Order: sequence, then C-alpha cells, then structure tokens
Amino acid sequence: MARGKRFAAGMAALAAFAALAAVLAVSVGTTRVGFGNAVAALLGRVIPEQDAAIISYRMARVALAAIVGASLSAAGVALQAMLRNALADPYILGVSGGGALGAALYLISGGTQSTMLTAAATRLGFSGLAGAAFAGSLAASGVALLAGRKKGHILPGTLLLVGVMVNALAGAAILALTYVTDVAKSHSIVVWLMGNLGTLSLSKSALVGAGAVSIVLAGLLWRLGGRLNLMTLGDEAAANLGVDVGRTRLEAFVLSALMTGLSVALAGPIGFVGLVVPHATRSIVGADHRFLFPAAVVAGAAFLVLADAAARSIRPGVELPVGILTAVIGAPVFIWILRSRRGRYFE
Amino acid sequence: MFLGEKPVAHGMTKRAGLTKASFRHAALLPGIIAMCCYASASEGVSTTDSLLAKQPLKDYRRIVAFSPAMTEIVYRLGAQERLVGVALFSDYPPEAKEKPTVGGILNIDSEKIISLRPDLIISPPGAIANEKLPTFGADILYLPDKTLADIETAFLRIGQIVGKESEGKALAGALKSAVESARKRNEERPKVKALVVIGYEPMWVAGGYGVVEEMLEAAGGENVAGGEKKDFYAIDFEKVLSQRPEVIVDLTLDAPATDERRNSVKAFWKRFSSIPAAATGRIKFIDSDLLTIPGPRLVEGLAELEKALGRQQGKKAGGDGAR
Amino acid sequence: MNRAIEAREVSFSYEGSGPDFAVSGASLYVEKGEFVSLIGPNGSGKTTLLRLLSGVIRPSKGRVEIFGRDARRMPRREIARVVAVVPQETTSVFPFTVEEIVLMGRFPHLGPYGFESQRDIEAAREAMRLTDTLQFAERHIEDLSGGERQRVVIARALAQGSEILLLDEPTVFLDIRHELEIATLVKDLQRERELTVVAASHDLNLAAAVSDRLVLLKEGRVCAEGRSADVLREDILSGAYETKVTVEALAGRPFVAPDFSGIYGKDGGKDETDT
Repeated sequence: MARGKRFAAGMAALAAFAALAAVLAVSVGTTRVGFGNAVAALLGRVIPEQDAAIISYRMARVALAAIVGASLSAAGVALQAMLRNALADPYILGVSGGGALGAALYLISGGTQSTMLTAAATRLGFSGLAGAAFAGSLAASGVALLAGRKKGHILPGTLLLVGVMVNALAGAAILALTYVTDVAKSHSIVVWLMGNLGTLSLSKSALVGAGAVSIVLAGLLWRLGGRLNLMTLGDEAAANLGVDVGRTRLEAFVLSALMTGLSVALAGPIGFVGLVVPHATRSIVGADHRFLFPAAVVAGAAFLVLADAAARSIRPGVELPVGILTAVIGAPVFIWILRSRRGRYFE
Repeated sequence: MFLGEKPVAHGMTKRAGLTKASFRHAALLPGIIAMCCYASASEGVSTTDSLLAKQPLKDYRRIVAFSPAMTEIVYRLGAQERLVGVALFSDYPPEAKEKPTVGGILNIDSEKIISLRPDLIISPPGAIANEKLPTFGADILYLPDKTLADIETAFLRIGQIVGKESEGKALAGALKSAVESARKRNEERPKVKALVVIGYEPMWVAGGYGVVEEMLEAAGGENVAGGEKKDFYAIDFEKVLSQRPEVIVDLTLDAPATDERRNSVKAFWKRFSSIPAAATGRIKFIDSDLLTIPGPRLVEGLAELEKALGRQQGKKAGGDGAR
Repeated sequence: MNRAIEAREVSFSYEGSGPDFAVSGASLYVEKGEFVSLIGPNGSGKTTLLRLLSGVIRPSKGRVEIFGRDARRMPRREIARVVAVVPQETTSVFPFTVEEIVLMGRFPHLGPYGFESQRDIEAAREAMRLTDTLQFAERHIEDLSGGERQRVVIARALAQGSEILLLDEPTVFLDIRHELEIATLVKDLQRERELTVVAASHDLNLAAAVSDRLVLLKEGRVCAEGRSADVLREDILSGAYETKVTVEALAGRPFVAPDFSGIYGKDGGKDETDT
C-alpha cells in the first residue's frame, strides 16, 4: 500500500539522518575525533586511550540529547492531536512552568541533602535538582488536569487555558524569587532556564534508566495513535466512531506530561523541539499518528543531537545553551513549513 | 554518583562582589527583572573625577557602600563610622552586619537609601548603577573592580575620599607587593595547570580575564580555562577533559566546608580519572570570598592559591597542601 | 417487531439551559430498512434527538434501544459497529488524505494493534467507489468542495459497515445541485444495502421525497408523525412552525411552500410571472 511504502521510505531516510547526526555529534567538539573513531565508539568497539574520556563524555551527551529530543517530539505530537491545535507544544500544559519553579525553589534553598526528595533522587542516580524539577512539573500537570476537568471530562479548551495560567503563575513566582534572592542564586536560576545538555550529575545507570522509561512511554503513546487520529476529527465524530474520548485524552495527557517532565528534569526546558519536529515530520510521513510517532521520535532525537553538536561547535570550549540553537533552527523551519503546501493548517 | 549538594547555588558564588560579572549576566535577564524608568541623573551630582579633583576634598560623613567589597574596604581603612548604609550580603567584618542594608544592584532599596540621606555612594559602575544611583542626590564614586589594577586604584581612591589616604596607600601597596613577590617566586618554576571552579551544572569557571586569572598566574598557575577572555563563563566539560588540569580549585563550598561536602565534590571528580587532578586527588577548596570579593582579603586569597598549587611561600613546588 | 432503533420517552436538557429541556418525553421508533426524517423548527430538538439515538449523550429520562439493547449498556465501539453518523460538516486540523479519513471509519472493526487489514482497505475503497470519491483518495480533505466533502464523510460512514445511518442536516450547507446529489446518493445506498436511515432535515420537501415516514418535532416533543401526506398539512405545519404555510400537490405528492404574500403585498401586488 502506498502509505506503507511512503512511511518505510521516510523512516529509512530519518534513521539514516539520525545515524549521521550521532556520528557527527560524537566527532565534533573542542578536540577533533575522527569519524572513524566516532563510528567505532558508537558501535561499541575499541578506541584509542587518549580519546576515550572525551568520547565517553560525548556519547553520554548524545544519548541524553536523543532521549530528550525524542521525548519532547512524541509529547508534542500527542498534545497537538489531543488539543486539536497545531500550535501546541509539550510545555503548554504547565509542565515547564512547574518544573522551573521546582528547580528555582531548590536552587534558592541551596540544595540540602537532607530532604527526602533529594535523597530519593540521588539514590536513583539523579541530582536533587532534577528531582525537584520533576516533582514541580508533576505538581503543575496535576493542577492543570484537575482544573481543566468538568464532571470528570477533560475539556481541551479549558485545559489549554489552565496550562497557560499555570505557566504564567509559575513564571511570576520565579521572577519574584530571582528578584529577592542574591545575585548568584538568581543567576543560577536563569542559567537553568536556558537548558543544559552537558549535565554531569547523571549516573550512567540513570541515563540508561531514563532512556528505557522514555521508550516505554513512547510505545504507550504509539498505541494511542489510531485513536488520536480519530480525535482530530472532533470529540463527537470520534465518539461516534467508537473512541472512548475521555479516556484517550487522559492517557495522552498523562503520558505527555510524564515524558515532558522527565525531559525538563534532566535537561531543563529546551524549546521548539516539541513544536517544530511534529510539523516537520508530518510533512514527511503524513498525518497518520501511527506513522507519525515513530518518525517524530527518530527525527526529534536527531534534531536535538545536531543542535547540541552545533552549540558545541560555535564557541568551542564554552557551554552555549542549546535552546538558542533550537530556536534559531526551529523558527525558520517552522515558518517555511507553514508557507509550504503541506502546512496549510489555518486557511 | 552526582555532585554533592552545595549550600552555594549552582553557577556563581554568593558574594555580590562579582558585580561586574553580574551586570553581564543581568543583561541576560531581559524582561526578567522589570525595570521601571527612573528620571535621568539629577543636577548637581558629581561623579568620580570631579569629586577627587576638588580641593579641599569634601568631608563625607554619610557614605553608602554599594557592594560588599566596598564595605570591607571602608572597614579595613578604619572609616566605618562614616558608613550609614551597606549593600546586601556585606557580612565581613561581622560588625558590618549591624549596618542598615540598602539592597543589591538588582534590587536597590530606594526608600532605604533616601531615608539614610547619604552624601556619598561608592559603587562599581554599570548600566543600572548609572541610571539609578544619581537619583538619590548624593555624590557618586564609581570604582571598577575587574582587575587587580582596578582594585589597587579602589583602595587609593576610597582612602582619599574618607580621609584615610595613607591607610589606602598601604592597602594598595600590600596587594601590589604580595602579587609581585608571588610572581617573582614562581617565575622560574614550571606552571601548574589549574582550573578554578565556581559552580556546577553547568560548570562555571574563572576565565582568562580578571582578578582570579591574574592571581592564578602570579601564584604560578596556568588557567586551563583561560582561552576565553571572560572573568567567568560556562565551560564545555570536554575542554576540561582535554586540557587535563593538575589541580582543581573549588570555590563552591561555603566556609566552613564540612568533610561530607568536600568528599562529595572529590567523589564527583573521581569519576573522571583521566584528569590528573582527579586521579591524584588534588582538589583544593578555598573560601570563594577570598578570591572573588575585590577587596582587602585578596591577599589571603593569593596565599591560599599558592598553597593550593603546592607553592608554599618559600617551599619548593610539589608539596601537596592537603586540605 | 423489527425495530432497528427506538427512543422511549426520552428527555434531555443541556447544562446551563436551566429548566428548559431540549427534548422532553419524546418517543419514536424506526424499523429496519426504513428511512425516517426528523423535521421541525430550529431548536425543536432534532439534533439532540439524533445525538441521543447515536448514544453520544444519555437521556436523563427514558431510554434508547438499538436492536433491542439499551444504548447505555453498549460500549462505544459496539455502538459504532451498528450506528454510523454523518455530521453537518467536517473540518480537519491536520492534513489527512481522503483515503485516510475514510479508513478511519474502519476503527470499530480493527484489531488490537490498530492497523488495517486488506479487508478494511477494500471496504474503504468500496465505500469511496459508491460515493464517487475514489478519485480524491490521495487528496487532502480541505481541498475539496462542500459537496465533495460530504460525500467523503458519507463514504466514511459507509466504510463503518453499519446498518443504521444517522444524518444531521447533511445538506444544510449545500446548494441545490449538491443537495440533490447527496439526497439521491443516500436514498440509493439505503435501497441497495437495506440501511436504516434517520435524518434530521431542514428541507421539508426533500425530506418528504426521500423518507418513508416523517417525525415532526416542536419544543422537544413529537407533535406529529407518519407518512408525508399525513404530516405535511397546513394546520399541522402552521402550528409547529408558527407561520403560515401552503401545501400544494406536486406530481401527486405534497409540496410545502411558505407564504410569501406578505412580501408580494408590499410591492403593490406585482406578479413576477407577468412578461
């Protein structure tokens, strides 16, 4: 069938793109590591001793970028379908605001080792900061979910607005905190808000665990694909076609919130990925969510890996926030898509 | 294992002594801090050059020090009775905590300042300072605090303006000679590759410009993060891996640092055994105040740096100043 | 009794509408293979009644039965296998192709992994063939005209393979030609596939032409039902629509015309048919 072939071709291209991105990302940085060594490392083969530490650091970074890029893209796809809104991004439901507030509170308190949250987080191999951010995003999503319901049904329009309010409220709170605290702490809050893929506080097992969790969550979202297709027709049309609209919406919301919360906790808020990658992928493999999810996951991973590689190359030796790159690449791409034939969502 | 929790925030040290740096970073907060527009400089306010050119110098009795470093300088010069207001976080010497605080550069307490009726404000220069301070009607002494030369000048000028000229000269002289003798001492010896860390996640380090860099060099060190000519910046950890510093100077722990905290920092670095400093355990802790407050305690900071690099005064290189 | 779908004294009110009931104690039944049209003025409850019949809303009183089973007890998917709904209009936020939209009609029949089998694809293609939309398969639904879009939606409903078809004023946004096209199509399909059709309609004459029976609603209640000759009478219609209507005979069937004499009168009685 034509769709299947188109999907297979698209996926093959994306997978190749992702592989190239990974090789490129491992080979660029302050020291040049040859492509050969990069490929060898990615395949798990032996590499010369002097490059080992650097390659190991880069691979962890590439892995994190892939996980975050994939998660944000999957969440973006799900939310755009769930809210029937092409401008939705994963942060729209308050997840980023809540995560930022959690992180800000943690940074202001100086990060004590004695709190249960921190202890739990560190036992799992994450930093207390990540734990606080994750808790914050979960709390915010919970609030959004509770406020956006009526008689047990989630109303997409209400949910959207509640999410915007939660973000605004969190933003105001963070502003207040940055204003009253000392320069160094407000500085660290601002820095956190820029996103950071170069985190060193993730243990290897935590990274692998995060990856596994992301894969599971993405798989569960994928299963919703057919139902999400129908949801885009409208609640009533979907219900008439046999979809349990309320439950599908709830599942999509919870899974997206978890994936986004995880990304924000690990790397801070990185924008544009969850908004642009779904659109770009849609123009390659079409709007069918059963194809869109796997494609977006691969494309999102590749995109963020490349953006991070670019961020590391522009000012070698300096940690440039990757959010700048995703915006600089993402915004023009988004505009270009909107103007092309395939992107006519609003006329 | 992750990096141990520090009481000091990730990023920069807690002292507002890094005010110039914080201006730069304040410039990164567009729209985050809502700034009202104040009226432009009022008439009749004199600033630095004109102030010091007056003969005789005005006798200032109601002085506001707008950074913790400047508070320290005034106290060290013995002119604290003239001080009516100090910046937030001016906690050295301890008596300074008794003085009324007037906020920080990002959150100026205008009401407090007005109520104190200052006749002189001493402040590092900067866009926000230039805009807001003149509105209080006091004379303003702007003193840059980025380089050692700046700081020596600051000692001199403040000494002049509070009538402690000879004490000011002495302070400046002490700093200058401490740096020079350190430099002479370490001229002939091989440089020790060092990294000065002021924050983690992302890793903020002292760069190739400013007080820390100058003192590090004088102490016989080579700043592996010196490629970037900024006073502080976020370094790509890869660079640390490839530069292989022999000593890590960690400024992130508040004094007194507990053993627990030091051990977590050491454990963090131990994960990267390809870095010589990590493999040999040469992670040295210095109270950040001593190196980042551009004031009289820099001399102590220099001594600590030398110790950290294994360059005890008068001793040969290679001693492991276990700390 | 061969009742495909039945509403027994159902009542329903929308939230926020206070004590007003959109539908109040309405009863109607449709036999298998019948074509019934719901007619009545705006706000008479046609759409609400249709929604109750499709099971997407639940009556506060009374019950809806589909082939004898209480709709409340049937899971959504099961209802979707026997009842298909054609809404007034369709828009799509995302660029789905026509074929993808029609295939969505197969959802109630899909297996656990949610991918279509060859049978599903053939059912969809057959539906597109019957509605003359096969040529649009790869095109985006947004690129089609209103009439073409409605045909696609009918194709989707057909692809569902359900015996019962509910249509909510399907031609209200179409011009005369397309209106006729759709009406003819639905009637033909009903005959060919022995479908049971319930259609809410604003066009009395079109409804009369295609239906076996008419059900007239007013203020949420059934005020008349039966064959067109029995329902389309001046007294009944004037009462329901609260306006003067004239019923004439056209080719042996009743034809309803609103009373334009008020408008003509203002012109000084000019007769447009004079040459």
